[in-house]
Amino acid sequence: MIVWALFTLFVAHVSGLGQSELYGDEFHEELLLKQLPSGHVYAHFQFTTLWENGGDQPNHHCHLFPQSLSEVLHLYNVDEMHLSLTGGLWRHENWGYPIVSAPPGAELWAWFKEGTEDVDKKWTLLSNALSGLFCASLNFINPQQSLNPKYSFAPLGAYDTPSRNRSLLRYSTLPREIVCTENLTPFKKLLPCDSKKGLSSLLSAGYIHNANYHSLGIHVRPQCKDVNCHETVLELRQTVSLVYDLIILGQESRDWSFRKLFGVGLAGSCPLASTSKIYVDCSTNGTSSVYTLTPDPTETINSNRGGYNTVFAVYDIKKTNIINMFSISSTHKGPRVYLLNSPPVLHATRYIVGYGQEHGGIVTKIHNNHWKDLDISLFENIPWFLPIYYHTLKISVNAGKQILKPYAKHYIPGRDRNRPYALELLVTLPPRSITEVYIEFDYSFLKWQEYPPDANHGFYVGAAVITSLLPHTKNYTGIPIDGSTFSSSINASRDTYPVTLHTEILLVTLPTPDFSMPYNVICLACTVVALAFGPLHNHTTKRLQMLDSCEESKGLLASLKLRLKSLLSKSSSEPEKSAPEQKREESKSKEPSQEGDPSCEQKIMKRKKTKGTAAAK
Amino acid sequence: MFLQSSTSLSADKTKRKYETNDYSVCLRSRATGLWLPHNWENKKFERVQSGSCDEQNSKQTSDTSKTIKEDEDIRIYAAIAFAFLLIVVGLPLWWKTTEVYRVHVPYGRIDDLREAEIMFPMSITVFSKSIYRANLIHEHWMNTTLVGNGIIKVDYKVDTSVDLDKALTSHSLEELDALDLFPNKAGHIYLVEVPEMHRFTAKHVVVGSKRVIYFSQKAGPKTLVTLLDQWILRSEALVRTKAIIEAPNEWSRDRTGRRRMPPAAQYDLMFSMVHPEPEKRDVKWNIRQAITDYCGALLEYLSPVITFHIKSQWLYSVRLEGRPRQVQQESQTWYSLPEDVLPHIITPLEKKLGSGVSEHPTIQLVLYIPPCQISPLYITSSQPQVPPSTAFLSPRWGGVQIFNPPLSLCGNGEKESPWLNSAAIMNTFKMQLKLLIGIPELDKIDGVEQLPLPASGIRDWEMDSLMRIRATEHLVSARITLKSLAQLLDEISNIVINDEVGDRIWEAILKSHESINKILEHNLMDGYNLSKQAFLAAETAFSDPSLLALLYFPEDQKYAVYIPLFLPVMIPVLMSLKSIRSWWISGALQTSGSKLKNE
Repeated sequence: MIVWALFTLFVAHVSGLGQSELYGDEFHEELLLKQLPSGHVYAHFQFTTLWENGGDQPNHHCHLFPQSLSEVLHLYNVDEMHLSLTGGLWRHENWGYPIVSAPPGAELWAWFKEGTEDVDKKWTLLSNALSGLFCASLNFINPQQSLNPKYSFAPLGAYDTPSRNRSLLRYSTLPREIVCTENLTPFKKLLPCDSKKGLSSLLSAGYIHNANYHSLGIHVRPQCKDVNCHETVLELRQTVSLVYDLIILGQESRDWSFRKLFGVGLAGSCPLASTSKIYVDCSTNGTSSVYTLTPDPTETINSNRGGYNTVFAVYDIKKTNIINMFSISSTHKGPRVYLLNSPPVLHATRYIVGYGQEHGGIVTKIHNNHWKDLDISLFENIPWFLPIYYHTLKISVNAGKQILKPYAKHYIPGRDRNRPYALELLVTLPPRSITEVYIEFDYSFLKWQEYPPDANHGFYVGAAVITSLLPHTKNYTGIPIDGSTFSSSINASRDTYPVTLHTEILLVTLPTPDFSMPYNVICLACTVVALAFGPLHNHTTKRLQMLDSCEESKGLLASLKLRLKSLLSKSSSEPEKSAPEQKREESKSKEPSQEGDPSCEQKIMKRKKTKGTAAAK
Repeated sequence: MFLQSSTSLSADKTKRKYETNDYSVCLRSRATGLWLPHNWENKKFERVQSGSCDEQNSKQTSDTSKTIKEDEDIRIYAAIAFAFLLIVVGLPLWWKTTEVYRVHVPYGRIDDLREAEIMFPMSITVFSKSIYRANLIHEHWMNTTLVGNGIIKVDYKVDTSVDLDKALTSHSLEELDALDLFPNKAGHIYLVEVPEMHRFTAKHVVVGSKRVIYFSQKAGPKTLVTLLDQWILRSEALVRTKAIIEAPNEWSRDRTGRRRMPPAAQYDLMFSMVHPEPEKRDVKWNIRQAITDYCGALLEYLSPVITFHIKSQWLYSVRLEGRPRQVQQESQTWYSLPEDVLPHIITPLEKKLGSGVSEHPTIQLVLYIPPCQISPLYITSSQPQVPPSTAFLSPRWGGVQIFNPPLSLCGNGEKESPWLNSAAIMNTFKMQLKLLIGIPELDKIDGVEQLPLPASGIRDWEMDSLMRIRATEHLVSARITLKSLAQLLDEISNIVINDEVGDRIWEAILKSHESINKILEHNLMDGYNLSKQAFLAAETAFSDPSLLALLYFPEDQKYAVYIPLFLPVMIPVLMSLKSIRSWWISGALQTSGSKLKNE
C-alpha cells in the first residue's frame, strides 16, 4: 500500500520561475480522471506550455518550450499544428465526448503562416521533421495524400485577421499507423521535466498501451496572452488520453487507483510547473454509484457549464506534501448498478455496404438526439483508389422517409495517384433523427508496386470528421477555445460548444493480385515470343529441299566424316609448299572413301537451309 | 611438282562432283553453307568448273534453277530483314531504353585535379634599421630549408627604408600593434625590429594580434624561424591534413586536427544549460545576453569564414552519469569526477541534447550545474600534478563545463539566487569553441611572448593559418570525393547521374581550380570560400539520393529477365547471318564469274 500524507502548505515555492520571467514562459500539468457511464475510466493528461517570445520572430533560445519543436515550427512557417497518434476508437455513443477528439492512427493538420510560399513543400518537410521527432511514419504524408478542406478544421488560434486563407491549411491522416512506446518516449522528452518528475512520471509505457484507447496529441497554436488579446503567446498542449476497461485490468471491481491504472504512484509535481492539479469528475457519485475517494481532495469544485453541473474533486499537487508516494483511489460501495446508456447529442458511425469486389458504398450514420435542428459539417476523406460517384450521393433521414438537401457542398474529385477525394457537406440535421449519408464507389485495381506489404490485410480509409456546435454540455468535456488549461473549462458557459467527432476508419479489401504475377508474365510473354518467332523465322528464311538419301542414312557419322574430310583437304591444300610428302600420302589414302560418296544419288526430302551457292547455276 | 599434282587432283575431284547437277547442289550447299569453304582459291576454281558444268546441263535445268534462285533470294531478303530489324533497330532501341541515365562525367578533369598542386604563397618582410641584421636574419632563413615544407611558398624580403619612428614614440606594444603600420593583408607577415624593446618587455620577440611580429635587436634568427614555423605557418599541420585525407590509414591526426569539427557549410552552436535539480537550487542565467556580450565579437569576426546558427536550451532533470568520489581536503569537502569516466558522460547526455531538424553539424557547449549532494564537483586527472578542473572538451563534438554555484543556495528555495556570472563561463566556452573550429593552443617557445588577445579572441595570423588548413582540407576532400565517385561509377553501372549531379561535379572541379588560382594570387579569403564551395559541391554530388535510384536492381536479375527473351530470338537470327554472308559472297562471285566468262 502506498504510504501517503497530505499537508497543505501556504507558501508554494516554485523554482525555475525566476528563469521563466526572463523567457516569459510557463508550464502547467493537469490530469482529469473520469468514470465513464460504461464503467470505463477516462484519464486525460494535459501538459501546457505557454511561451510569450515564441510567437513572433525566430527565436532559438528556449527554456521550457522544447527546442526541437520550436525549431520545426519556425523553419517551416507553421502557425498552428495539430498532431494526434491514437490506438483504438473513441466510442462517442457510450463514452460521451473526449476533451480532444482523434481518429484511430495518425492525424496531422497544420495552418501555415500567412505569406508562406510553396506550402506543399513546407508541408512535406514538416511531416518529415515530425516523423523524425516522434518516430512515427508521418513521412508517408505527402501532398498527394493531403487535403485542403474548405469548411472543416478552422484555425483554433488567435490571429490578427478573422478570415484566413484556406490554401494555407493541410490535412492528412494515416489510419494504419500503429502507436506504441517508441512514440511515447519522444513525446515525453518534449516535456520540461521529461518523465522524471510530475504527472508525466505516471506515463509508463507498459500501462498506457494496456488501455482500450490511448491517444497522444501535440497541439500548437498562438493563443491570447490576456483577455484583451493584444498580444499572443505560443501555446503547446501535449495531451495523453487513456480509456481503461477496469474489467480487463483485473480483480472484477469498479474500484480504481493510480497503482491499478498507471502502475506507479506520484512522487511529486514537476518543479517547473506553475500548476500541477488532478481533477476527478465526481458528478456520478451518489446518483448511479457510491464511492469514496482517498485521500480527501484539496477542494471540491462545482462547475456549472451550459446548464449541466459537474463536480470535480481537485488535488493540488503543489500544495500537497508528499512524503512517500501519492495515489488516488476510489472505493465503491453498494451493489453495482448498470445505467441505461444515455448517448450524447450528436454521434456517428460509418460502415461499408455492398458485396463483391466491384462496387461498394460508404454509409455515414449521424444521430441527432437533440430536440432541435443541428447544423453540422461532414468531411469525408476518401483515398484515390476508391473512386466515388458524386451523383450517387444521397442524404436521407430516418430510413429514407425524408431526403435532405445539404446547405452547401464542396467536392474535389480525386485524381489517380495524385489527390484523394474530398467531400464536404454542410447539413442541417432534423431533430431526433438518424441521417444517412450514402455514396457509392468502385474498387479499383492498383499497380502491382502500389500494394503495401501484406496487401491482403486490406486498405484503410481515414475517418470522416464531423464538426458542429452543440447547444449544451451534456457529456461534453472540451476546453473552451479561449482557454489553455483544463481549469479554464470550469464554469465556462458559452453560447455554443464546438465539438469534433471522428468516425470509425474503414478497412477495404481491394482486388489483390498474385504477386508472383509479374515474373510469370515475363516468363510467359518471353516464351510466347520465342515460340512465335522461331517458326516465323524458319518459314520465311528456310525451305524444304531434296537431299540425297545416303547422306541422310549415314546421319551424324557421315556428316562428321565429311567435316573431317573437308578439314583434311583444307590442311593438305594450304601447307602445300612446305608440307612433307607424308601429307600427300595421307590425302591420297583418303581418296577412296571420297570416291565412294558420289555413288549415292538417291534423293530424299529433307529440311535444309538455303544457301547462296546452292542456287543452281 | 607437288603443286601440279595437287591442282590436278582437285580438278579431278570437282569434275567428279559435278557429274550430276542435283548432286552438285546438294554437296555444294553443304560445303559452303554449313561449313566453311575449303579455301578461296579452291572455290574460285570450282566456280569456274561449275560454270562449265552448268553449260553442259543448262538446257535441262535453266527453268528450275531460275525459280529456285528467285525463291532463295526472297528468303535471304527475309533473313536480312529480320537481322536488320533486330540488330540494327531492335538492339539499339533496347540499349537506349534500358540505358542508365548518366550525363557526361569529366573523368579526365577529375584526374587532372591531382596534378593541381595546392601552394600557399606567403610573403615575409623584415623591417630593420640595420641592414646588417636584416640580412643576417634573411641569410639564416635562406640556409634553413625547414620552413615551407613544400606546401607554403615563402617569399622573403628585407626592407630597411621604412620609417619606424612610430615604434619609438608609442608607449606600449599594444599601442603600436593597434596602429595600422602595414597593409594588414592575409598571406603577409611583417617582422619589425623595435628599437629598445626592453622598455616594454623582457622577452626579445613579441607576436602581435594582427600580422606583425616585433623583435628586439637581441632576438636570434633561430627563435624567429621557430616562431614562424610552429605558430604562424604551421606547414607541418598542413602537410598532415593533406596526407590524412589521402591515406587515412597511414597517418594519424595531430592534436588540433583531432579536435577540429569536420568541414561543413555551416555549424549550429547549441548552448545547453543542464540543471538536474531545479527544485533544490534556483539558478538564473541569461544565456542570450551572455552570448551577445561575450561571444558576439568572436562570431562577428568569424562570420566571413564560418557561419554559426546560435541556439540555446535549458534541460532540467538530466543528470550526468558516473559516480563522483567524495574528497575531504582540510576543511573543504568536494567531489571528484575521475578523468577516465568522462567519455561515458557524453553519451547519455547526447540523447537529451537533441539534434532537431538542422542539417548542419552541431557544436554542443554544455553548462552543467551539479546536484546539491555532489556539489562542488571537479574533474580530476590521474596525474597528480594536474590541478582539478571544471571543463573538458570532446573532440569534434563540443565542450562541457561544470559550474558550482554557492552551496548556500541548496535546499534554500526562498532565497533569491543571483544571476550567474557569464564572464567566467563564456570565456571557457570561447576557449573550447576556438579549439573546436581549429585554432590550436600555442606551444611555448623560449623568449617569445604574445600580446593579449584582441576583443574577437582570434589573432589575424591565427585566422590565416586556419583558413589555409581548412582550404587544404576542402580541396583535398573535394578531390578525393570526386575520385571515389568516378571510381564508383566505373564499378557500378547502375548509378544514375542526372543533370544536377553532373552540374555539381563540374562546379566542384571548376571551383577547385579557381580556388587554387586565387590562393596563388595571394587572395586567401576568396580562395578559402571557393574551396568551401568546391567541397560542398563535391559532397552534394556524392551524397545525392538520385545516385541510388536504380541500385536495387542487380545485374543478374536483369539477365534473368532478358535471357528467356533474347536467346530464342537471337540464335536463329545470328545463325542466318552466316547464310546471308555466303549468299552475298556467292552473289559477288557469280557476277565476277560472269564477267570472266564475258571476257
